[in-house]
Amino acid sequence: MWGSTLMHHLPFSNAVLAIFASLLIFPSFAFSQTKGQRPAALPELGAGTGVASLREVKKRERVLTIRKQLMATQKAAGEREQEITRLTALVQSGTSTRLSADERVLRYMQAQDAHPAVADRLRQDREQSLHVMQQLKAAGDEEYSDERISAYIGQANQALRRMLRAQGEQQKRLTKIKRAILNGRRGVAPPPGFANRNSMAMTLLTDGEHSFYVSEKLVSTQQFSAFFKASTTGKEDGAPHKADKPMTGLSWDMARQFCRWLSVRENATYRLPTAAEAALIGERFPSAVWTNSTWEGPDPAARKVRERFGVPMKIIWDPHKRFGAETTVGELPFASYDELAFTVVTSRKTGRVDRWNRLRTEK
Amino acid sequence: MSHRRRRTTAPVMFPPRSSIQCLAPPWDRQQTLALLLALAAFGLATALRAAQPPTRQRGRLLKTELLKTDHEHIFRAQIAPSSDCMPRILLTKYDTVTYHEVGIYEVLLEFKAPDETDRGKIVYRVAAGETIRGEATKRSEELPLGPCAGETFTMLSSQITCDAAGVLLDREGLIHRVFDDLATPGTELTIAHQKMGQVTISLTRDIIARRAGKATAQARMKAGDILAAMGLDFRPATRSGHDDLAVTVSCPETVAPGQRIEIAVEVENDGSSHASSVVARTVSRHAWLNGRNFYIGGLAPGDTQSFSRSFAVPTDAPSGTIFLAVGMWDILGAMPDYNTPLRVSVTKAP
Repeated sequence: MWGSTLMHHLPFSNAVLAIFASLLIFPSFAFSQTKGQRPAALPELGAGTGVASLREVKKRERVLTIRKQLMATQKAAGEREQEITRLTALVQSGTSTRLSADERVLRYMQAQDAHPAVADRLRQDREQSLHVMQQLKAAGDEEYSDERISAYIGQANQALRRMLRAQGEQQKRLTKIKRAILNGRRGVAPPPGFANRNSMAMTLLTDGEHSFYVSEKLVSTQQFSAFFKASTTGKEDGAPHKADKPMTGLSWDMARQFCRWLSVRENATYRLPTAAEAALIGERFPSAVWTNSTWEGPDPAARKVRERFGVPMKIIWDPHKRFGAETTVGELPFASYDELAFTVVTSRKTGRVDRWNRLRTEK
Repeated sequence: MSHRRRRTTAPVMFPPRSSIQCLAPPWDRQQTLALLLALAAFGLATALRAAQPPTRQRGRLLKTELLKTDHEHIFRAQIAPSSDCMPRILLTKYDTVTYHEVGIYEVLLEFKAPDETDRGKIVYRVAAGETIRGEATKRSEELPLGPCAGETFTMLSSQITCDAAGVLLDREGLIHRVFDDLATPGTELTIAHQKMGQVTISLTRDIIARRAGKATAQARMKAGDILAAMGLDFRPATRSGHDDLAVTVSCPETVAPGQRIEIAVEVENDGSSHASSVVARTVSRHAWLNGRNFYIGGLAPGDTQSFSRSFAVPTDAPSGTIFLAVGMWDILGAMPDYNTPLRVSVTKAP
């Protein structure tokens, strides 16, 4: 049955036909040597003709073993082909726009989970094929009284080479599938929001091709106190906090330290927004917020002088113009004001990873 | 026998015969008369020519007559050595005296024929008792009157009064403000007085003294370098040992609007190598605090150098906390480790 399946699906069906043909050609050779009659059939030692026939029998046994291994390898190749086809179909279904984002991600997740096992089995198949190839090469170096055996070895050798080529193709297809899974995951739109372990609700903001998550609310005093407690006592406060009033009067340096702590805690990169991202945030928050961007100012020479003396200034996003007439203000990183709070942003990758982890947990 | 003829002397006749009679061979009387007439005409013409009046010329300068004298007070400025962080300019007053004069010359009469070119035949005679007045001339000289003690001058739009030694002390750091722009290594400083006019002097601020080359500090001060005038060492160096500097910034914690405050930066070299061309600078969001240079210069191991600047708190400064950083730089670049963060509270005066 598997032989017919292979004939339909494998590109090396000619090899299978050759093997079957060989079995039909010398069935007595194939089976007479495998019925455990070898000791009885052994000729006596010393007789020249007996020794020669004994060698012939051993050579035939070796060829029979190779034939069995070859057939097993071919069967495995057929199974691998089916698995790869199923993986391809699974990845293909992930691109469907009729499915929800979560469903699409789930398809990719299934494909990604199945991929390593298939790749591992294919690697084993290939190793087995190479092993058979070595045995065939050794068997081919022998001389046989029956020319049909030599012919069979030649045909089996060709069939095995075709199979190795086919396995190489399967390997390439698997690599493509892996790439398609990664690209497909990226192709699924990031979730519009998520909540991290620190109970920070993050919202997706998009400006053309650039999109990122920003915390829905300013970093609260309780969220900051968790960081403060961890940094002073070295102990994490595992209980999630409820957001309360925003943490104000904090320097840029401290805000950055909070981001670093949060990044480690969340295993994702959290940071202060850039000035461009802050502009996209707009008037979402009642307070001015620190940004991650260095203040350039209207005078490039002044910026160079600040660099010369190693004193950078950071940009404060001040949409309500509490610090001056402009929406951006340059300030020293250690400055702190009651009207100044901070928010955190993270990349869309963080949202995707969060959804991935959630779906995996639900799964 | 000699063929030379012996010179014989004719017998002298007295009274001698007239030349006409001697020259005239056997001329007739009419010819002699015509010759006499021609000679008479020639003599008459010569006499007529000699009778033309002489020209009057300026002879020797007899004396100079002072018509009037004008006095104008001016001043000169030069950078003066300074032991503290305030540039000083020495102002000296001068009296510029202008003499309006005229020369009195003797009269020289020149006698010569109209076409005479032979100077040997021209006769000059001094006309006794006669003089000629020359053109009016001006001559000036500056007489030092001493330092401009107590005089008020305008410099960089500010009124500053000199001390008793005529030294104009830049207490507010107006000159430093010009050089706070690091891209300005030199400037032309104009000092004006209400009556004495204005004077422009060239000032430089050569942080690593490249422009002056190997000139001595004295020479650089004369060339107008304010750092050399303040006795700061900004000699060129290829490296700077800044591993063990101790930076202390003195700044009032509380200020009031309209107040003038002083911020001092003191740097001590605790290391074992010479630190070169050390400069500190303020950085702040507030313009009245931002971008002021503190020149420290070179520091030998164990040396301490301080520099202070004056700041005027704006009268409209809002109450609250303002932040200030003092950054450090030397010939090798920025020294972020020595940056000093400061905060100042602005409170309304009670």
